[in-house]
Amino acid sequence: MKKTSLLIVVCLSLFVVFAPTTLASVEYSEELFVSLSHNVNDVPYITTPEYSKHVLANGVTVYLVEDNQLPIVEMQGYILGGRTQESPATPGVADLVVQMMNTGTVNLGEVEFSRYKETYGLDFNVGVSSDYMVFSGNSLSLDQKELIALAYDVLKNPDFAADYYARNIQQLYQLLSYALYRDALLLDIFFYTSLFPGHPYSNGTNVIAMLQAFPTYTPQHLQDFYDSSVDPANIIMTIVGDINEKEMLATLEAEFGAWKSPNLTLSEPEVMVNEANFGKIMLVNKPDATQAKMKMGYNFYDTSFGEKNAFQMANNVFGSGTFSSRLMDTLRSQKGYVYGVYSTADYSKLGGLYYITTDVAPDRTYEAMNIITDEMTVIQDGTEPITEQELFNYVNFYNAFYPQTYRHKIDIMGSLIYGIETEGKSDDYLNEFVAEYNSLTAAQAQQVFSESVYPDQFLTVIIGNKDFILPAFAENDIEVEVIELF
Amino acid sequence: MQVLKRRLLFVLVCLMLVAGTAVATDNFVVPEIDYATFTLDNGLEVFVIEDDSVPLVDVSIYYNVGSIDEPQGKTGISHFLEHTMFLGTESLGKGMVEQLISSVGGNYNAMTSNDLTFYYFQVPSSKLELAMAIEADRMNNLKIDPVDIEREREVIKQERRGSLENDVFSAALEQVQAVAFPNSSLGHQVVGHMEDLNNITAADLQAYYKNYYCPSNAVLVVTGDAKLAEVKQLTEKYFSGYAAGNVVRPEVNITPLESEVVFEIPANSSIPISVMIYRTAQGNDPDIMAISVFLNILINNQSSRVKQELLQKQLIIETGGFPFEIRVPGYALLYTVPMSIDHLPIAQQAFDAEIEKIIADGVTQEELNIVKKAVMKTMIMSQKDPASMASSIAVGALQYGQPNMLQEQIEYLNNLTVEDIQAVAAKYFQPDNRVLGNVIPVN
Repeated sequence: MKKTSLLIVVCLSLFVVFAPTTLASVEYSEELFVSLSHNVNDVPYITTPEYSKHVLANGVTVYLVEDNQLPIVEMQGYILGGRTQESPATPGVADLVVQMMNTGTVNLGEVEFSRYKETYGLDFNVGVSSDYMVFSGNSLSLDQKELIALAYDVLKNPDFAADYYARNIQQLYQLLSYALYRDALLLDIFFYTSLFPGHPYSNGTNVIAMLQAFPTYTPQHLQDFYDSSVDPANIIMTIVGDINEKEMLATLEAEFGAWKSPNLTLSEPEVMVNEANFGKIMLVNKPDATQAKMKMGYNFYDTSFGEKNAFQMANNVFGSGTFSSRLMDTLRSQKGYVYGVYSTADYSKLGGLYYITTDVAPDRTYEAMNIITDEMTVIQDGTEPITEQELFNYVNFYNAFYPQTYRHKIDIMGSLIYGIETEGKSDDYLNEFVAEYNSLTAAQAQQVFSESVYPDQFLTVIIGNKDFILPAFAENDIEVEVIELF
Repeated sequence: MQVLKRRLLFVLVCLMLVAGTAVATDNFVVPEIDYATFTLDNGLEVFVIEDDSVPLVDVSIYYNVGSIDEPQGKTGISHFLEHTMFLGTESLGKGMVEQLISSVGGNYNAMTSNDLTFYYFQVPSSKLELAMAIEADRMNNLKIDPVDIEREREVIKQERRGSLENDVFSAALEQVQAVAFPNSSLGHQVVGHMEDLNNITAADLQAYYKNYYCPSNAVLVVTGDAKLAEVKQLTEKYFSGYAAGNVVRPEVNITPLESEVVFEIPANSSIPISVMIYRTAQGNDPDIMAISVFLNILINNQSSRVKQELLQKQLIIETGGFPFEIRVPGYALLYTVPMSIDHLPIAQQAFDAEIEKIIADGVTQEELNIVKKAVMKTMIMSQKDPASMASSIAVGALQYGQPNMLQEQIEYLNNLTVEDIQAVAAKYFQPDNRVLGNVIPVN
């Protein structure tokens, strides 16, 4: 009896001591995790919302989608043109134009403008990129007429001579001057102006040119840009939500219908590739920087590049920024040099860019730059080709997340209208993309990558402290152009 | 198009004459967030929000530990541990979290804040068990390898350089926070001081992990294409075997400010920046909603007082403000960017004058209505994505035992009066409750 009691006591005490682990019902092992991970996601299908397309007499093109799940209305749109319509003498004028458009109109002064938006709970904003102005807005459905009225007023009736003109100029000027002290923006000045010399595509980042030009601008410069680049015939938009199609069309006709098209011809300045950039390294000396911010890239294909989708998948394997991408695996997971590293193909209508961005400790700059080039080269020359597993992971990821990307009808329509109206794509092109990447083989991805990357053409721009960056370059007899700004 | 102006005039008149009855001011009911909840015997609280609109599921776990729990000399350890959680367990070798999740077409990340640490997996719904198993394994069996720690230390140091040291505003905020909360764990940034990052050891991380990572100090949230029964079965399978743990979070030392502190921060910048910290209430205090409304009226709305008076009069070029909601009395961060160094004193005087006006005269019903309308719209828009509510449920449950805190705040907003706004302005936004750091361009 005593022995039995002792045994019980011992057992109980063991139980108490080891309870946290012995209670566990799962034996963790690599095999367990691998067995749980087998998965091939279904190929997704994006259902295009039922839409109606309308072209007003002045050319405004509208896609309408009735969706009454929630009492909201959302709109997205584009005005073709954008920064490409800037002349070499007017860098940044497009940015000033949209700044003024977002501040007030001929009918609503600045205070009234903000009160109008906030009283009705309207969001509406205009932005500008290389090839188009873009606008978006939303409201509760009960305020949809006010949203459309505001959209028209902003797009049609900007007041460039308003009393807030001088302030907007001054405000942007000050913010631009601050850009010279922000590494990422400073980097882009030299990167874009080198690769798009004299072309409007560099205007949006050419802070130095803008700082010189802004004091010379008058409201007339803005008006001239607006008049030469904004044409209702170049407006495409979609409105999705709790609308009645006929009523919305009537509202659009009432607001936008009287806007006459000036029948503009948009300019398309040619992008010239400067071969002097090939292999060049520029270092902007920033003595107080504790890191080196780096961008390596070159001129790339325009939006008509036929292998865009295949290249996108191959480039994901190289530098998507996920931990399994080649660059991230080497530079972060193996070396611990970077927090993130990304390779990007940036297509525009008249010419694109391909670039890799990262930040590193200054004394690692040279090594990181070489690793990036080496990783690109071993894929290109087939030493370490893209594997089926690598490609599968991204295909599987896209198949999983594509439905989420396009779970909202406004997102589907926002993509569709641009593809249909500017690139001549079908209204099923989102699914055509799905079919294309799902049929891609690793060999095809490898081939497209090999044929489309040019590691010997990298222009490298670095922002950092030269005292810590240059020694490694000097040791290897690598020439670096040092720019002293500070 | 004078019709716009007429419409606006009509609505403004309505709002002024019939305050509280116009559309913009109608009280609204926040829709119930359709979630289920259960708690394991070991204290792990679980919330499930079903949404089968896409075949994905999010598995998120929130640990009740963040930078305010860090002792002096170990700043940044919460965030360091967050990085370490991806380096493997005894069963999950180096890189396997990435391999497993990427092979199923999934995604993951993590975030550390002042008050909590948050991890999520987003995976195809058929792979819910994989995500649950990884999360459970690393809750208890994390492998802290000194070699891996050394490499990750360099990654984190680079993160600090990139996100803080080389950004004028972030670097200034670090200094202002240190002055605002001396000898306090609220006085440093989440990423930690570089010196501490160099000194944190694998043993430190192990101890911190063992102290805070346990079921009773966590909330698990599963949102998306998953069924409650399956979540329950998997939670019990993978998490029920762990001991509850007994976490006692340290007291946060907050000494009262005796008077306003103003100091200069020389920086390589072309423009000055005024960075202000006002001490406020803890995250679940009813005053928090009133403070948010006050900040929108004062500084955030396009028609806000500061934008109307300072921005439009070319004294400043940018401004903003938001409250930090944490489990201890937190703070509101406000900033202005004066047009130039010459404008800094007058801009600050004008800014203070706007606050004084609200303290003295209050805000208008129209201003309050505008904020209410914006919140109403935001709540309706958020229903496009029911899972977006998951974070508010988890944070409310974990930090305050109030999973429905958002709804409680909205109800509070419905009843908020102009007098309430005036009261919080007077209570929290006096100069003697402020630390002000002015970034002074030196170049």
